[in-house]
Amino acid sequence: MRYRVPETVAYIDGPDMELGDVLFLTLLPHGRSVRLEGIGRQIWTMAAEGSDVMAEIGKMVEQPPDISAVDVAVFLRVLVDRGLLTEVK
Amino acid sequence: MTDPPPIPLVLRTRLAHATLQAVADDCGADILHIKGGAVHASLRPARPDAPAGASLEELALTRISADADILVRPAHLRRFLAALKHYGWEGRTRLYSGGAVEHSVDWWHPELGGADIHVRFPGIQIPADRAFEELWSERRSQDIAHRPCLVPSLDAQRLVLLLHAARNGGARSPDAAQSWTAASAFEQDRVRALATTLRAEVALAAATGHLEEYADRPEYDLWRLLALPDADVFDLWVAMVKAAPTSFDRARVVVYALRVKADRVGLRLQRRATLAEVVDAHGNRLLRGAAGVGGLVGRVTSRLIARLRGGASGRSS
Repeated sequence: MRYRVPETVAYIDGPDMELGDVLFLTLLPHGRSVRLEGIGRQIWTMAAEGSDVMAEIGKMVEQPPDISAVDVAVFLRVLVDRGLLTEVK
Repeated sequence: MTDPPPIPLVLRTRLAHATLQAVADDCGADILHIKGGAVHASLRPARPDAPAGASLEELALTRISADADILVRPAHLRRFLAALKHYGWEGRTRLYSGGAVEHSVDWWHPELGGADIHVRFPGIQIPADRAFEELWSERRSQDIAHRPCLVPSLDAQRLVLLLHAARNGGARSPDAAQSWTAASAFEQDRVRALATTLRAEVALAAATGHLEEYADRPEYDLWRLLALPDADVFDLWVAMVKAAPTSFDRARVVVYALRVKADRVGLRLQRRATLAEVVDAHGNRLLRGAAGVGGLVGRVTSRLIARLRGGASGRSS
């Protein structure tokens, strides 16, 4: 499954503003915001770039994340349900 | 995943810009994002430690603003404010003078913080609707928080920064240095031309150190006083009356001084003001105004007496 950023989401990645491993997402037009850190931020960023998240996570052999494939799938489902990602059919 | 999160100010205002654009799109209001996070990278000071080959955005220092500033088409103000309210924003102040004195209203979002909603920009003397149309006609799209937001042209952005600088240190302001001193002669000419179209030449001159060239203009006193760190409030009010572009605006500035403004007292106290506090603040303001009128009458009378004496001695010699 591939994903993209919905038009109803504004976001700023911490490293772009020298703020470290944190990502802020805001749902438009209500302005409700979500903060992602660590592996959560990495998963959203990979998905937003259109990468195959499962494959990318699998490649992280040097520093394997403390997260299972099921966890990743569930997390991606939550992001989609909350309007923070859109599935690309 | 946690929410709602406390968002660092530098990010919050940018996310607020993107949200304000979405609200404007939703209600069909025309807005332009100005200052702070909406300033183009080419108009921001360069980072001294930028790596070689850095992009324009990486090269520019981040501008931090306390709130997200936007300019709204005056005819769309009502619908835009109604939409903000619908989406959970709260109005903190209101326009008592229809924009003749205050140029903006403060709104607040529980997660995204403040927004400064301008109906006009101080220094621009043509009517607000014509000024907006002039800026709108040259608008461009610029991504803020990865969402397309509408901003004025680069020349207009430069002018807005300079007009803001005119009220904050004038030619000594860092914005004046970046937006004017660092600009090419060609860019300066274009900004001057835009200022002429918007009748903002006097305020521009205040920011660029040429205010004395406009000593005969009604706005001169206002911009001279705004550059002072300790200008008397009454003198500012008199200068504002003098600078108002129309008789109607002058009347609104006069009436403004007499209005009770409970929201401004609350904003200063950072809580809802009690009736007694509002009455007290209004009473103090009227007393300061009365003292100012007394001082003004005294100065005019002294000048008149001196002139009469001068005239009398001139006749006797």
